[in-house]
Amino acid sequence: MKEYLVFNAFGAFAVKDKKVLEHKFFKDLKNPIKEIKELYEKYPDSVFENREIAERLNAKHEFPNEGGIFLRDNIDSIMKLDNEYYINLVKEKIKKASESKDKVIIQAVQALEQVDQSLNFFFERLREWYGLYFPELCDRIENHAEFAGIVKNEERKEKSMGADLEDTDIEMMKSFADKTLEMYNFREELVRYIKENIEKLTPNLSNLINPLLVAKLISLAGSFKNLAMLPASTIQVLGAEPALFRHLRKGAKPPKHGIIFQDPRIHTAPRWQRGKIARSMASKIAIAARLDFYSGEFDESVSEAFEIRLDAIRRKYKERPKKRR
Amino acid sequence: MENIIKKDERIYTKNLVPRETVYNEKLIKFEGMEYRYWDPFRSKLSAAILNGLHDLPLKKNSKVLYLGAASGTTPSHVSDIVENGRVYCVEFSPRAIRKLVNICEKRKNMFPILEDANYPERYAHLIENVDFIYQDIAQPNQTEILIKNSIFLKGYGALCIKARSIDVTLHPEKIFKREKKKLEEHFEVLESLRLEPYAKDHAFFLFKQ
Ligand SMILES: C[S@@+](CC[C@H](N)C(=O)[O-])C[C@H]1O[C@@H](n2cnc3c(N)ncnc32)[C@H](O)[C@@H]1O
Repeated sequence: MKEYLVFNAFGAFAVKDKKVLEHKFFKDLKNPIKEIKELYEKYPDSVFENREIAERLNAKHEFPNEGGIFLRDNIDSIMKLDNEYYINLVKEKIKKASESKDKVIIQAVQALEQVDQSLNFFFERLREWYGLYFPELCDRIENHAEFAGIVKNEERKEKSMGADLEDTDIEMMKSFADKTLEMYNFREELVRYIKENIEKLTPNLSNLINPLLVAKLISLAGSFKNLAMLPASTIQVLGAEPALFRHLRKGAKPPKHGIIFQDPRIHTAPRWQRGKIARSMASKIAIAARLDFYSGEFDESVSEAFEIRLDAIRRKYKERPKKRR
Repeated sequence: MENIIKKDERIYTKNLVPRETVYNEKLIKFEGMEYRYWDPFRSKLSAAILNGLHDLPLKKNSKVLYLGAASGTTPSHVSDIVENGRVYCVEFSPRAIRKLVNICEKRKNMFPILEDANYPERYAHLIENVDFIYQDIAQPNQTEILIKNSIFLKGYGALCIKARSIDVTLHPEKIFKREKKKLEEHFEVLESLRLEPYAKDHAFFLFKQ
C-alpha cells in the first residue's frame, strides 16, 4: 500500500489505506510549507497530489491520487471548514492582478495585426516561390497553413509542369515554409493569450461579442477606461475613421459601422438591416463596457437584451425596403 | 425540489440571509419565510426549471462544485437551496469575482476560488468531492473542462452550453447534438432542454455519473 501526503487549505495529512496516519494543521495558513516538510520527512516515500509542492520538495507526484480522494471524501469527519480563508485568499489574488492589464493587451493586439500582415506576405511569397517548382500544388491547396505544411513535409512525386530544381533550392523553400509555420503557430498562441486575458478583464463585453473584437475595440479607444467613456455613437464607427473623415469633410454618407462590422451578426445580415443591428450592438457595448470597467459585475441580461432586439430587427425588417422615387 | 417555490409562473428560493438581496431581486414572504425572486433572464438554472426540468437533485446538505461562478447570481440561489451544504465557486476573472466575494462574506456556505477551471489540480486542495457539478462557462472546450472536473464528482451535474461560444458558423442544434454526444461518452444524460425565451441558443443538460 502506497503512502500519500496530501493537504488542503488548513492542514497536511499522511494517508495510507484509507486512514489518516498523522496530520499537522498549519500554524500560518499563508505559509503551509513548514508543516508539509515536517510531515514529508517522517513519510519520505509518500506521493503528493500537488505538482508545484511535489517539485519543490523533489517528491513523487500523481494527480489525482488515492490519498487526495480519501481526503476530499471525508472532510466533514476530519475538520470544520470555514470560508473566511477562501475569501482572504481571493482578495489577495485580486490585489495582485495588475491594474494596467489593458496596456499589455493593446500591445499584444497590435503585435497580432502586424503578425497577420507579415504572415500574409510570407504565405504569398511561399506560393510564388514554390510555384516555380510545383505549380499544381498552388492551385490545389487554397488554405495557406495547409500549403506550407505540405511544402515542408512532402516531396513532389507526380509529374509537374514546374521546373526541375537543385536540392539546395528546394531545401531553402522548405526552410522558409518551416519558419512561416512557426510564426503561424505563434499567432494561434497569441490569439489564445489575448482572448483569455480579455475575458478576465471584461466578463460582460466578452459575453456580448467575440473577446478578440473586444480587444480590438480597446486598442482603438486607446485604453479600457477610454472605451468605457465613449458614447455608443462613437463606438459604432470606431475603426472606420477614414470613412468618418470623408463624411465630415465632404458631407458624404456617414459610415454605418466601424470594426464591429466584423461581428458575423452584422456582416452576414441583409444590407438593409446592418445599420440597425450595428446601432443596437454599439449601445449594448457601451453599457457592458461601463459595467466591466466600473464594477466588473457580471449581468447576463445585457447580452440577452441584445439577442432579443436582434430577433426583433430580423423579423420586422425581413423584406428588402422598396426604393422610393 | 427543496427550498424552491413556484407562484404565478415565477420561482423563488428561500433566502439564506433574510432581508439581504444579491442583485436587487424582489423579496417575498410565504408561510412566514422569506423568499428571493429567481430571475430566469439572469440565471440559466432558473430558466431550465421554468422550461420544465423534472428533477433538480440538490438537497439541503449537498456539496456543489460551481464552475464559472461569475459575480454570484446563480451561485447565491444554489447557496439558498443547499443551506447546510457547501458551494465551491470557481471563477477565473478577478473583476467578476469581486462581487461574489462580498456575497460569500454573508453566506458561509459559499467558498470562492479564483482559478482557471481548465486546471483542476490547482484547486484540488481547496475543495472536496461533491454531489453535484454545475458548469456555465461559455468556452469552446467547455465539455472537456467538465470531464476534467468530474474526478471530483460522485453524483449528478448540469451543463449549460452557449452555441455561439463554441462555433458561430454552425447551427446551434448541430452543436448541441455534438456536445451531448461527448457528454454521453462519460455520463448518463437525464434531461436536455433549450432555454428560450430566456436565453437564446442555449442548451441545458442534466446528467448522472
Ligand atoms: C456566463 S458567465 C456565468 C454566469 C453565472 N453562472 C451565473 O449564472 O451567475 C461565465 C463565467 O465563466 C467564467 N469563465 C470562463 N472561462 C473560465 C475558466 N476557464 N475557468 C473559470 N471561469 C471561467 C467567465 O469569466 C464568466 O464569468
